Amino acid sequence: MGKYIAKRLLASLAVMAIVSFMAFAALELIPGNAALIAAGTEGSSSSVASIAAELGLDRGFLDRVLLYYKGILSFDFGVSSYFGESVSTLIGQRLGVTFSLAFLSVMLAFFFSVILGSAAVLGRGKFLDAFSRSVVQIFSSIPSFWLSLLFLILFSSVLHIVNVGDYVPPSVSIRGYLSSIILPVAVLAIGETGPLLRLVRTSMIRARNEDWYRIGKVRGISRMRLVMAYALRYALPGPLTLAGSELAKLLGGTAIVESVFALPGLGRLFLTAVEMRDIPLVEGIVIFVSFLVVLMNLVTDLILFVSNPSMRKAGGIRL
Amino acid sequence: MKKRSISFTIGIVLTSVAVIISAVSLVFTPYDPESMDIYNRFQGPSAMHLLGTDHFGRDILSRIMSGSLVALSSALLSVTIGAVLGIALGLVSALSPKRISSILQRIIDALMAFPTILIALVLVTIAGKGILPSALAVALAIVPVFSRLVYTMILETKEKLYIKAAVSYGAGWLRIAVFHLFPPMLSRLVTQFTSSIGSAILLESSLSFLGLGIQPPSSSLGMMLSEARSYVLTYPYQAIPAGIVLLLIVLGFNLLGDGLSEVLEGGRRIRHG
Repeated sequence: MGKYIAKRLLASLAVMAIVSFMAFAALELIPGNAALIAAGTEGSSSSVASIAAELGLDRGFLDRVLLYYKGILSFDFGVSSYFGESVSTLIGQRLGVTFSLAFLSVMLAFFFSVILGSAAVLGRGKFLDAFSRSVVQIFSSIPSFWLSLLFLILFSSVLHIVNVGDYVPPSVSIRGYLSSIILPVAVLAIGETGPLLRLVRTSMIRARNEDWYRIGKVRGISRMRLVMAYALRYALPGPLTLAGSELAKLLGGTAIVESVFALPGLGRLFLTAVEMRDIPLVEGIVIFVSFLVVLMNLVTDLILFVSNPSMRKAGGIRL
Repeated sequence: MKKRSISFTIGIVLTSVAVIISAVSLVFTPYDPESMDIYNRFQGPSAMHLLGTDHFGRDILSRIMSGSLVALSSALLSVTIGAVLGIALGLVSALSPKRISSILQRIIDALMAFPTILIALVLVTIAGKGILPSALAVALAIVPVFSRLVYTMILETKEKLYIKAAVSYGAGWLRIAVFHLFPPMLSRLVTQFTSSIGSAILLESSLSFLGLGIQPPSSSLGMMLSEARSYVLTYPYQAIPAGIVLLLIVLGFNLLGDGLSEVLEGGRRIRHG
């Protein structure tokens, strides 16, 4: 067991090192260096030089790589050239919004998928299964930005229920907070339901074909008990892992929804950074999000590993 | 093909219609998709303009037709690039010594764990806006899917008896790869290619929606919706036609991919008795 955990930890560290190096190398390729961009069109050559010195651009490549990793290890990603604030402060301010969007929508999608998926596969009617299959197809084909527009039209201009454009933090008013994030959460949850429901369905079908399921049925164990006590335990690890990695992915994937619903989150910050060619900010967000992604995946893996005896024996799985 | 698949039927109909409409747009559109008529803007559907006009008075139907062509061709380009690179990476990774292959797999892990929109945005930061950078970004998001698929399939097949037999007969690695490893993977690859086109169209339109993909005056479905967004509260109709077409095209490719796998798997089962 210790060996597996050590192996996973090491692999995660390797992925982090590779990702951060790729981000660094990729942004090195940008035509015109970061100091020129930061100084803007009116920057004099001396101000460009001083900014370059501040960013460490006047040193050699190896020096800069070392400086960069030193910065990462101390959570110091430098200063944003557009906002003029420290990158870690900017990320910290906006992380909460994005995290609550991602967390709530994945939770919602997970419970909806588990309930609908198990009812569809293990229930009696064929209608529910056809319904769940259509849900999978349509939900994974609908563009999230279009769905956001439809929600805006329906709830804001036709029904006048939700006001868009004024985000209310939960510390001010819980009600206002919920009403400002309910639509984006719904859009994201619909997008997440596609892959999750699909996986729940296939895992449940596998459960239904297992000998113990048939024997349980023959012995007259009630269908409800069979599902709750056995099938769910058998079928859930896969969808749980997926939910974990989808949550991690969403932390960097909410840009569109945040932009349409005018929420001050990480995604919109990233869009601004890209638009303004704010290299330190782009770099900081990429590193931060990718580390979160790797960590989240590691945690889900370890939880699964510890909680599932058969996996402990087999030496762990990767989805 | 014993078993008929509903997904396959609906998928093939939707995708054929999309392909035909885009092909027709090359020779005929009701109006020039870029000609403006400022006096007739924001019109609803009428006999003159079947789907109405947009904020510059341009004919929405014509713009959807040429926009579909852009969506389909750029998705095809991205998926082709992504599939070729991914297959090559998967092949190399599966056939190379363990140390190299585990490094390659970690890189693929890293790419897979990444939100695709983030990869695309980083690429746009580097290469600038436009249709080519966005197509490349989409391709980059496709690469890990194919390489993972090829990698696992080869690891499965490598242990099969007929491969060991071929090795023992002294067949070269190229011969084994082309004649023995590749054919059984073909149906899975075709399936994956088809569904990847659906996701590529989604991703490309998201980038265009954010204004990072194709630039005006060319139109793509994502950009039409991006323009409609400015008028969403005053002229909500603007957001409807292009969105429905986009949904149907993506749905078509997803259904076709699923249907193909049902049909091909069924076919394989029959062949093996």
